[in-house]
Amino acid sequence: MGCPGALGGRLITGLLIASLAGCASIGAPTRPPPEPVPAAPASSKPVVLNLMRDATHSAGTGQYAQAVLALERALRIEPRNPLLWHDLAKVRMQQQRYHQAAQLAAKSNALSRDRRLHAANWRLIAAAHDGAGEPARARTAREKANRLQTR
Amino acid sequence: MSKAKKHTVSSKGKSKTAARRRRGRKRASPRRRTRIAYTFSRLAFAVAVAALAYIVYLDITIRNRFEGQRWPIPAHVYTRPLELYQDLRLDRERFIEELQELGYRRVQDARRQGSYTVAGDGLTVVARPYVFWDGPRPELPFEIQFRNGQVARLTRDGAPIDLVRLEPRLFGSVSSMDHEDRTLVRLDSVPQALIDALLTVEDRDFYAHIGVDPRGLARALWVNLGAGRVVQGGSTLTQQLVKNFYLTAERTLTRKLNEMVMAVLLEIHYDKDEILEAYLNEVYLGQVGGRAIHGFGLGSLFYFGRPLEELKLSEIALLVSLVRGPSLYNPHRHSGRSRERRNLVLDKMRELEFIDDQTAKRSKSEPLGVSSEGIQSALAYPAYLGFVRKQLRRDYREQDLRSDGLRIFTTLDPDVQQVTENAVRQRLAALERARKLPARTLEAAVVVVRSDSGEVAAMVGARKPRFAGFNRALDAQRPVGSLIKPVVYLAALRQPRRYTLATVLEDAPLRVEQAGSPVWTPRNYDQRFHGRVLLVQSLAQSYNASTARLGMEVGVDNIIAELRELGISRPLQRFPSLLLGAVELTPVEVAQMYLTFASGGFRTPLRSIRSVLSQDQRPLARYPLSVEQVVPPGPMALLDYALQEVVRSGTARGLRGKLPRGTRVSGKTGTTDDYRDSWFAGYGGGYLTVVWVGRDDNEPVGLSGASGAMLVWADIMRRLDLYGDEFPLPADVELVAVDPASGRRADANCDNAIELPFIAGSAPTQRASCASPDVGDNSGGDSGGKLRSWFKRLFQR
Repeated sequence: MGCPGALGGRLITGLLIASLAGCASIGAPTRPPPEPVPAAPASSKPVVLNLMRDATHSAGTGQYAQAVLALERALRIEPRNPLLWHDLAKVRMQQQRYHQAAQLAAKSNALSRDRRLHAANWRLIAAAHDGAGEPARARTAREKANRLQTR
Repeated sequence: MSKAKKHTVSSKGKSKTAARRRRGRKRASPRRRTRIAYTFSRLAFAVAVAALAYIVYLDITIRNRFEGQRWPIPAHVYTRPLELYQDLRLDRERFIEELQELGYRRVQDARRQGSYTVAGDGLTVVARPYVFWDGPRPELPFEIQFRNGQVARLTRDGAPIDLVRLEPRLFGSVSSMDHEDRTLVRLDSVPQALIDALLTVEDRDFYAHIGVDPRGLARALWVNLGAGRVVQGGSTLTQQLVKNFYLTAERTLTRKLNEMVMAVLLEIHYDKDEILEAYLNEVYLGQVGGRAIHGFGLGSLFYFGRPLEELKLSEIALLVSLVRGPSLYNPHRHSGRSRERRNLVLDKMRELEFIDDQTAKRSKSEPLGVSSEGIQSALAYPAYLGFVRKQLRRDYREQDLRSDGLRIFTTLDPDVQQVTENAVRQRLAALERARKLPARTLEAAVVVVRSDSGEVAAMVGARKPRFAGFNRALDAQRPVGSLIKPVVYLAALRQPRRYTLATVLEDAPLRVEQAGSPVWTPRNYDQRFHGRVLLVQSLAQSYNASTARLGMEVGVDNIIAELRELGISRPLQRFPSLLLGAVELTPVEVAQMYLTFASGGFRTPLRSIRSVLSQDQRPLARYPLSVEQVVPPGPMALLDYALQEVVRSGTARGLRGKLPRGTRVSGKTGTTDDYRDSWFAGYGGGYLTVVWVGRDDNEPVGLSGASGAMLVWADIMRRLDLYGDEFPLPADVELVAVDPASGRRADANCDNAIELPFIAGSAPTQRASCASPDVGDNSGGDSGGKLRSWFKRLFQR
């Protein structure tokens, strides 16, 4: 398991943690990213990585409120870390709060130019639309995810 | 009650009849005597029944109030907790200040909770145990090292730790009932010295008497007779408790009798420890503003800024000395008298051998030790507190808020608040001096928000921030002037086929006639018209005529719809003058509107409350929070670029050099007719700050947005710890060089060309006259090298 690829070291650590619950869903193409992600250093801060790990653990055991608290705590330290917003979206998804999940994933996209993260967010948005019973919007989102992945 | 009264009345009636009978017969026969005796016994019985009924009534009164919840406990409101982690920007001095504000004591070798030791660049701290919203945190000893204004190392017993959260600071209370304030203490957590001191001076025989103390009363009587006035009260603690708890302060014999009876009843029902604990929480210890400080728990925080269990003997003695008269012995106002009284308490403790000679002597020589922090804290941040009150009603259910002893954790950052208050105070005074305005006429309101979470970090509602008067941040509705312009431009930029940053607008005289509103002829502040201008310049230079034309094209209804999307919910009138800001909003509303820009197009509700815990430490359910993408990434990036241009070359260019190099800032000035309101709203580095400066009587102040509010804004922002990361350009936005004169495509042949962001496919295709015609349609590409690097600098700064 793992997400191979020539992503920046910090980003890959973040992605690894972000994807503990399901790396495959993020996708793992092996070619280098189209460009570095200047505005989104995943995290150089061990404290943020640990909080992400705590959140993943809490969410994995169904303690969603705790997971949200840990991620919000990390976001106070790194408010513009797109992976934190992505993780928060995943927790909302698990809580079946579909609308918020999609919105948070959109915020993660706005903060990042990383194609893989964008694809993961669009997949999450698609799933959220499915959950909310909006198949047309889900299809559009899934197409976007696929385009990002294949390009 | 009514029953008891009936008994009293009927027995009176009977006694009158008996008296008449006695008067009617001069001598009574033995038979009669028996009858009289019988009547008397009935009378006595009736009196006894009445008395008993009354006692039963008192008994019910006592028990009703003593069982269960004894006091309404107001909700207590706390600042944010300081989170410490490696690389946090924080210098050692500021950290020590934070510890002092929390009442931590500096000692040689920190071992007890609430203390710290300074050694070189580092500190050893023993953090107090605390129940946070995500669970309890036990007492935590840790070491912290600083280097170059950052936390360099965080360890516990030498082993690295990630994160330490200090406890938040209490700064206010919210109560719906009366103005009594207290924090409850349990008897087993109260220092023995406090109980010793209290019983020594107030009630030596407390554990022996039955609620009243005849010996104490006799002693008091003797002393009072000797002195010729009331020197000693002779009341037991139980009587004092009864008096404060159930009765009024009037000095009548009836009240005194009631008090004694109730004291005895209380002692029958409850044990001594329960009564003592109630006393410790009931006692009145002082007043700040409209708040009455009750109980030793809050008293300790209020006078010393520390919890009761951390007080020294001399401090305990001072608290106990206040029982006799909190204003008479007020240590802040009458330090001499207060010291005398405190030392008397210590002397009496020595007399009764609770302490030895040496301890008494040492404690008596100590300073009073009262801190101003407690008082400041109790009166601090009234504007913020007002906002918290409003948001409680928005985010929580009414019935949950009615319960007692809630703890409200806010997002207020005392450092940011301090910076904001200082900036307002100093800058307003400087402006008055420089502009020869009458002193103390300018007023201001400021809201500082974290851009991505919407958490309000600071709020100032008045020039004197401690004065709980008119909260301008929340309640002052002022015309916003040009602050509204970005909304007009956003509505236009949402239509990339019609409008881009390079669209040429006409800044020329304009006359708008619309049924139902007066004829409108907008003019520019410089009284000139600027002819053909690019859309981006029109916003950056805040031209009125071109903006009004654009707004009329886009439509007033669309602008109103845009305002709604941005979170403005108040009723708005459909006048064209709305396009230039003839709409009154509060600084908080402006902050809500600009927050969407600052957070990349996501409407995020302003929040002041992080969590609310009930008395049993359960988090209250809240209405869920949400972010909502209301502006698509493309138009948002374009608008943000234009708002950066305001600072680079527009009306806010005066900011250059006032902020740290490399800080990317977007903002907008606002000035209203005759210079009555001076506004600035701007964001960058993770913070959005909105400033209003003006006068309460709406007289002109002679300040534009840039010469007034913007200076306060800069004073605040340059002292904040700004965050470097900004939103990247969205993938569907491209950079294209244009000729600023025509708004057409430019290339390296064009001297003044500028590079602007365009939503893909919307960039101009017509070539400027300066551009060479033979280069393909992808111009701006190969020839725009120097422009590109310039542009990159802008976005990567």
